Amino acid sequence: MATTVMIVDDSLFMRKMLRDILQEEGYLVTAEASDGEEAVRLYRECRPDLVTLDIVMPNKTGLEALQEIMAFDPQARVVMCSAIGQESFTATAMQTGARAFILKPFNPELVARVLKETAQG
Amino acid sequence: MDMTQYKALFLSESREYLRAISEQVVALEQSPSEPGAVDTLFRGAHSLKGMAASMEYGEVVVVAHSMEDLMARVRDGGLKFEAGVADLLLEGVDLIDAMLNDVEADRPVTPPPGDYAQRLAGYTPPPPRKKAEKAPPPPAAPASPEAEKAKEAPALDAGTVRVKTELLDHLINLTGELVTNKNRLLNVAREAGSQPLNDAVSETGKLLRALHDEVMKVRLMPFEAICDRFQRSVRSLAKKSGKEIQFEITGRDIGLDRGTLEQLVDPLNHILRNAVDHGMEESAERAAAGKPEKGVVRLCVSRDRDRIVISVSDDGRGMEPQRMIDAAIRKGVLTPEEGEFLSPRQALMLSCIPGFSTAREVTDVSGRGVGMDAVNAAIQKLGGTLEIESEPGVGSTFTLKLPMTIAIIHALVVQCGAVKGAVPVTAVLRTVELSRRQIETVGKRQMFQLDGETVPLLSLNRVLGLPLGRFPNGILPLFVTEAKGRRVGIVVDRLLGQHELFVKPFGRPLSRMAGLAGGATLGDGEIVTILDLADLL
Repeated sequence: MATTVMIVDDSLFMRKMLRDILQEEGYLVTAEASDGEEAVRLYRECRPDLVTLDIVMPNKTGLEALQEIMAFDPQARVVMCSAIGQESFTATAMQTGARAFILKPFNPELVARVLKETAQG
Repeated sequence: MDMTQYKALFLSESREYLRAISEQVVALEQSPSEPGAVDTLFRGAHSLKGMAASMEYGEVVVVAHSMEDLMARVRDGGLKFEAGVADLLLEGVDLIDAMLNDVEADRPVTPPPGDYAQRLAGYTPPPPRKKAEKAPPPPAAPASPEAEKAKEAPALDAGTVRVKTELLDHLINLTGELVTNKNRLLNVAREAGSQPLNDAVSETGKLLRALHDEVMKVRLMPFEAICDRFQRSVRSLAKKSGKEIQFEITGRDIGLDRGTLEQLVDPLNHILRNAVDHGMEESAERAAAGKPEKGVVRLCVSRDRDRIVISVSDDGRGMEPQRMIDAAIRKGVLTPEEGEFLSPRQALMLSCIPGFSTAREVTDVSGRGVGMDAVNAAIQKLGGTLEIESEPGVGSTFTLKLPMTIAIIHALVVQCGAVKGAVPVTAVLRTVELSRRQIETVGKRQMFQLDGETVPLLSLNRVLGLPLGRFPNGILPLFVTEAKGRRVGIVVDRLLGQHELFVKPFGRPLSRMAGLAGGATLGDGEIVTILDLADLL
């Protein structure tokens, strides 16, 4: 069965791009959320294998959403997506339980590799 | 990865962010403690940067990045949000907007001025000047969780889809053709004398009406979509004229047809400009009149049954009907005799006559009268009406009433010579059958009495260059409309009744002719011309 993924980003453009990359790699995108609150809610509903989580978002930032998702499911596999200049959040997110980081703008090969490692790890 | 497939989405979403940014900048300036606004601004710039980086539009990235950094300084409390910051952000919005237009047109992107990034990075607020006694606005605290919750979530509901606007136009078109065809069926049923067929067609007619309403609803966009332009222009005008103005918009969520919305921008901007530029007094003059120094301009949108009502009101100096009349006489657009006939309401409408202006001086931004005739014409083209109310010393209100839809209209069909023309019922005040005896001749003009008012008569045949009607039985059919703020009786050969018409715009060369608003097909297949009276008279 294909690995299921939830994409979280407040930009439709980013979600669409990421969705295309992931589908190309054979993932099944089962949920998309456009803010932190929706991400937490949809995670509970859909229980995806993987989550890509943007940091700067309305209604709960990615970091707040990460905390709640990890509290609900300590086994959650979450990959944080961030833009250049937000390295300071990396440490916090990793301590909270994020498995990996990918940097925007997305490099399709890099995204594929990081997600594959996270899914298997 | 081929990024061209994402270009359209990039452009539309980037423009949404730009709109959100300019709205929030203006909102923050009006109330510096606006919850969440600082965060929204930061996020908007951040998202723009991320998207532009993905598309590899380096110039956009540079500008968005500088804006993001500036907002980060505000968010983290190091920098106060004030006019200087607002100006820089709005400048950035304009720069990115221009670059997006380049991207859309496949032109090389105009690089932003080289010092933009430096100016933002090195920005320090000017030292406060004379208004130092004013208490500083509360620092923009990071939004509390409650405030975050209170904010409207721009979440994409799982039950929504994005649809190309062309598709919607196509749907409207098909629905309109169906309405025309239903009228044709209705004729056939009448000729065949078949009651069951008649009933079935009537029922189809009702369903079509419902279908039309639903399709129109899909085309509706909230008024919100064009609000930021007004906020921007009022803000910059107030700044230019040195007036203190509070600008309020209500009814942002009211839905209007997309086509109507686009065509409202210029007329509303013009009315707002007039309000700021001419309606509003200088602070000193307001203080002397015992008014608060800060003037208020309100833009209200509401729905009244099947009409949209938009009003622009100010609490400025108002207009004197007599001064309008005097000015019109002085400028030769009105004779003193005509002036005596005018009611105060009609006098105010004089501002809609081309070439009329009461502005003491014409500024570079607006001159009352220069464009009010254009405003009035644009509103009539939308099937709407304009009313002006004013009380000297208290303020003025401009009210626009617009139909919900402009594609399918109810129109009065009239016969003039061999031509059938249609006039939107919104432009018809009433129809009259006038006996020759009731016509009075004043000077060279023919007039008649209507509700105690003397109304001039005009022949539509003459306006259209057609042979004049004969009226052997001495009865002249006419309809009353309003032109240049005055009621006019328009005489035609015959009044053929009211029809539901699907209006289609003319192609060239007909589209270039004055007075023609489009064409429609009647149920019997005959073509009628929709007349634009404001243009014709």
